[in-house]
Order: sequence, then structure tokens, then C-alpha cells
Amino acid sequence: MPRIVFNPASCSGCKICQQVCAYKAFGVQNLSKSKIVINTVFKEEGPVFHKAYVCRHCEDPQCVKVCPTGALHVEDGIVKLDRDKCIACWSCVNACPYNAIFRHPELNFPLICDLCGGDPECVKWCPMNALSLQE
Amino acid sequence: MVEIKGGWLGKILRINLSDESIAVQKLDKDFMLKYIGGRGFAVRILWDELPRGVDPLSPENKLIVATGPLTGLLVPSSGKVVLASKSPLTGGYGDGNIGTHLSAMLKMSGFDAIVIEGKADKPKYIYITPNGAEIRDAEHLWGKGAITTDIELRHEHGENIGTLVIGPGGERLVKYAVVITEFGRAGGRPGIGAVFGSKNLKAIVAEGWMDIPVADMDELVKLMKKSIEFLKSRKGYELWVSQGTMFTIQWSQENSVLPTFNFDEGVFDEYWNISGEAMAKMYKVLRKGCLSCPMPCGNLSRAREKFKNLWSELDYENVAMFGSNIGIGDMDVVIRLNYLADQWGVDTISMGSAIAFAIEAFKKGLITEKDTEGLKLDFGNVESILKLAEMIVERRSIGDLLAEGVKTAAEKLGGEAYKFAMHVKGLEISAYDCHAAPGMALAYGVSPIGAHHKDAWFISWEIKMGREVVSREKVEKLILMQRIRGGIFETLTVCRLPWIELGLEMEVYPRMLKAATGVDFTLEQLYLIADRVYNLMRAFWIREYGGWKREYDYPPAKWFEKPLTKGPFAGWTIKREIYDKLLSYYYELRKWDENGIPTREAFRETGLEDVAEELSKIVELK
Repeated sequence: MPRIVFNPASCSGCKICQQVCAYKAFGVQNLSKSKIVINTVFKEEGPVFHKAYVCRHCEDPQCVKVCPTGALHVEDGIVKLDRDKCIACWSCVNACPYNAIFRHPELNFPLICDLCGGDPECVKWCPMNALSLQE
Repeated sequence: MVEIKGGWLGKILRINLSDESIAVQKLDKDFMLKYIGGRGFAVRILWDELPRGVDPLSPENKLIVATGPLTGLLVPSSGKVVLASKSPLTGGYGDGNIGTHLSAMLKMSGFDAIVIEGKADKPKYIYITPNGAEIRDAEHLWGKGAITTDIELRHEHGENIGTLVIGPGGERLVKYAVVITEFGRAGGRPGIGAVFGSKNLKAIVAEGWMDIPVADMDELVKLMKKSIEFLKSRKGYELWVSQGTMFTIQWSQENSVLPTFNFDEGVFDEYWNISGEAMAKMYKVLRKGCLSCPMPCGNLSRAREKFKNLWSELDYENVAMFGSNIGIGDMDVVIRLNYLADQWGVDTISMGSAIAFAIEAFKKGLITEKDTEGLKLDFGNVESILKLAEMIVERRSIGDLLAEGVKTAAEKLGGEAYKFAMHVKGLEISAYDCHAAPGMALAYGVSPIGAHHKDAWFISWEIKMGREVVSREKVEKLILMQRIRGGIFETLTVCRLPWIELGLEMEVYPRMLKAATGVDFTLEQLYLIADRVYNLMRAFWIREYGGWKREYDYPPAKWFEKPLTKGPFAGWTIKREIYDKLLSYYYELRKWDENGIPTREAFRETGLEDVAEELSKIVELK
């Protein structure tokens, strides 16, 4: 399955991926409207590490299973959202075992990576080459 | 008619911790255009609203967190805020910038800045979202380290927040307490953390989700893309992302400016052990960047033997001040000290300087074992240094005095202590020895917050131009640096390093400003704003000090009187007449009088007639 692969050792946590994702999807400056989320997590005396949350386009996606209207569906191995069918029940957000579907307070549909149709913006922009597209 | 179409939100959040009132103030358009943001907003608000002579640690002092029109956007390294207040360390204008996700989160909550006054009855923290601000209980966090507190706040609010946190240093009003965020980032050297503590304010948390309005998003994205491509194509890029500012240790050693033994020398025999190369080879385990930064400088490093597996984020200033300046040539120990300082929320530069000062005072008999709880202080003595650091933050024995900063400590100790108290205007000198760099000494002397390098990192330029050169051109260049670094970057409130380190052209910033705000600015106009901000910061100091003297703009006596004994510049001191000449050039070029007071003409040219009017009640303006 195609998906975005994250290399935590290269990442710097700059969130340029989040910024460009929101721009590509909505044309806005708003890193919270991104379909990929990077967090830098730390413990008291270390370690510090960068984590990425982004759809893995699972072979057997739980989000698709729980979606009551068929808004989430699989097309050519990619999980896709049909916004017209979405009733904003957020079942998918809770069902995703990787916490990779997001709810934004101002949007009535979930944020889930669609790989930008095969040429993901985040991968193109990442200055550290921490993101790549696995075919 | 200028129309603002984005970049700014046009709103300031006002919080009074005494009566817990919260208000939103709409910003006047002219104010935004005249002061831009960050330091510009901060100094104007403090000038207008603080009565002369306010005790910096009283409820009347105001604490300002300010962004600028490019902050948080798709602009290189834009994740910064300015923290400002009347400084408890210097008694003058104090500010510092810090890389934090709170920058974007504040703007995504709808605010350009926060102004906090009053004092909470119990420990509190402020939680800000687009739904408004809340003052929340922080008794469970009081007493805890800054890193620990940050972690607990994330457990409470999730990871998608921005934070500003203080540690025990701020709570105990250590005069150089700073604000900490995201494990290893610090800001607010002139005691902004102590101002938090004096208000019983443990932290500020912001969680935003609104769009930040931008006039021309497509253009902004284009400029960002080009900037990233440019930065990544630069010859120095690989070295920068592998060492960040840490390559400077070796550079400073080679140029005899690495502060060593309380600025006695500019070279350190064990420099390699604490160098960027050693760090990259043996200690660095992760890189970390601020928001929107394509050239991350964060060096998360891990101790190897002593304090094994302890992590800390290293950069040049903290390693030099906790390394060579106190005679430590062991990176593990530097990591330990740096980690403790971050948990305590105290400034690494000032604490390193206070420790070095104490060691020199001990060697000269000005303090004794009675003051140090029996510790025999010496350079490189790890055990006594670690204990002394603890005494400072716990304000025990001599530590209580050292927590006041080296200026106050020297005044109390008397004798010749003032000669080796390495500060200007009460702010400890950051990590460049200037025995053989009079221009850099001037940069420290006239820095608008006390001795810090952020306004004019003049040293590399001075070395290229010639250390011995005493000319108007030299000082013109210094002022240009102040305009760009202390003026443009501190008001736009984005990081200066893309321009400094990798040569991103200044011309790109007015273009980004136009894309963000829709307003045309030329670089010349931004320089004028920078000069306005400098005149206003100066006016603030003069009002507080009740006048001005040239000596306030002088570095400490050690650089004039005690020559270097090691390295290629052995024998060098700064000649007083040379420093004085450079200072006179500086005043002339700024149109300040021979005592460093801006003239009426300087105020008029920068649109500060009202400031001149008020200041003329205190001093005579020429």
C-alpha cells in the first residue's frame, strides 16, 4: 500500500509539513488544519523524540469499518473521504489505532491524509527529508 | 489609505492577575504600522503604561509576550515570541526572544500579544484558546522544575499546545531567571522569569486553531519555497544543521575570544572537549528546530559517562559559560549544569558568569569558606561548582547574593570586585571575550538590554575588518547590525539566523511582510522603525535612571586593565581612549548627545516628539 513513511531520526519537529498540508488542503495559514501532525515529546531527563501521526492506509482499515455512511472508503488501496456523505460522527477518529485521523473544532469532517493524489506536499517540502512516500 | 489584510490580528489580550480581570484590547492600525510587533510593541506599551520607578518585582510591573506580523507563518524560522518587562536585574528595559510553539498558538487564538499585570493570590497559570483566556490553579505545579512542569501541562492539555514555563529560579526571584519551553529552550535573560514568579504566574499555555489571516498566501508560500531552496543550497548548511551555534566554540578559540576563567583569557586549553565537533561526534543524539525552521540549530545531546544518559540541549553561549568560563573541559558536566539550569529556569549565561565571579572573588579573598558553606571554590572544580549552582537557586549562603547578579554582588562585596563583575548595566556579558575586540565591547556597551550579543554580533565582522581599526565606518556597521538584528528581526519577531548564518537576503523580508499584511514596506522604512525603537528603549532607561552617563555604556574594568596572558593576542587590553572614541562615534551617528541622551532631532526624526516632551521633564534634551 502507498503511504507516508516517517524517519524520526531526521525530523527536527519544525512542522513545515503541517503548515503546507493545511495550505494545500484549504489554502490557509493554519497548522491545526493539517492531515499530518508532528509532536516533539520529552521525558524529564530525556529522551526527547519526534513523533508523526499520519494515515497509514491500512490494508484492513478500522476507520472504514466503523464509518456508518460509507464516507470513508478504499480506492486503489488508499483510504478516502467523501465529504458529502460524512455526518461528522467522529467514529473514525476514535477507531484509528494510530491516532492518525484528526478533528478540528471548526470543521464538520475529519482530517485524514489522502496522499495529495499521489504526490504528497509534506514529502516535497520536508527540509530534513524525514518524510518519504512508500509505493 | 493603508489597509491591513493579514499578518496581524489587531488584538492584545490583557490580564490582571490581582482581580482576575481579562479584557481584549483592539490595536490601533497606526500603532501596528509604527512599531510592527515584538520588541516594538513591548517598549511602547511599557513606556506608556509604567510609571517611572516601578519596582520590577511588584504587581505594578507589566509582563509582555509579543509576536510580530510574520510570527508563526510559513516564513523561515518564524516560531518566536518576545518576552519583555522592566528588568529586575538591570532596572531598565529588558527583553528576550524565545523559540516556542506558543508563538503560532497565540496568533491562532486571535491575539498578537499578551500584557499581564497584577499579582495572583496563589500560584496560577494562564490558559488561552480562541474561546478566551482562563486563569487556572497552579499550586500543584509550584516548586517543580520547568521541564517537569511543561510535561505535566502536556499531560493535562495534550501535545498540540505552546508553553512558557518558569522553574524554581523564577519562583525564588533569582534576578536572572528565564522562561523555558519544550525541554531546552530559554528566553528572557533580564529576569523575565522572576517577573513571572513575582506575579505568582507559573506558566502560560496557548492552544489555538483559528486561521491566521494572510494577505497573499500563494505569494508567501512561493517566498518560503525559494528561501528554503536557497538556505539548503548554502555551503554552510550541513555544518549548521550538524552543530548549530556550537561550531563557534572552535571559532572563538581560534580567534582568542572564548571566555575563559571569568573572562581572564580568550583561549582554553581543553576547548576541544566542549567543541561543536566533539558534540557532533560523541554527544548529539537528536536535532530540534523551532516552528517553520528549515535550518534547525537545536542540539539535543546526551551525557556519556558522568550523569550517564542525561539529555540537554546545547548551544554556544551555555557551553562556553558553563565550560571554559568556569574552567570546565568536560561535556558531561556541561550537560549536567545546563540541564539543571533549564529545570531551574535560570539563565545559563548569567549563572555561568555568577559562578566565575564567585570563584575569582574567593581566590582574591573577598569571599571565604564561611560564605560558601565550606566549599573551596576553584575553576574546574566540578563538585564545588555544582554545589554553588544549587546554593544560588536555593538562595543559600553566598548563593543568595549571587542570585542578585554580579553587579549587585560586586557592590555588596566592595573592594575591587566591580572590576571583575562581568556585566554591562547589570546584565552579565554573553560569551565573547573582548580584550582584543573593542568593537564587540562597544556592541555590548550599547546593547539596549545590557550586555547581550543579540543586537550586534559584531565580532566576526570586526575580525575581518581589523580589530585595531578605530573609525566611523566601524561604528556605522555596528549600528546597521543593531538595525537589522535588534530592530527588524526583534519587531518582525522571527529568527535572525537565516540571514546571519546562511545569508538569506534582507530584501526578502519586506516582500514576506507585504505578502502577509498587504502593506508595502521598504527596508529603509524598516530601518527607521528600528531607530524609533532604539530611541524609545534608550528613553526608557534614561527615565528610570533619572539621567545618563557615558560610564553606563562601558564594559567592565577587567578588559581595560588586565591583559590577556595566553594565545596570539597575549598582552592585549582595550585602550580607554579607543573605546571612548568609538562610543563618541556611536552617539554622534545615533544623534545622541555626548552623554548618550537622544537629541530632540533624533526623537523628531523617528516620530517620537511625545517621548521627547516627557523625557525633557527629567533631563535636558539638546
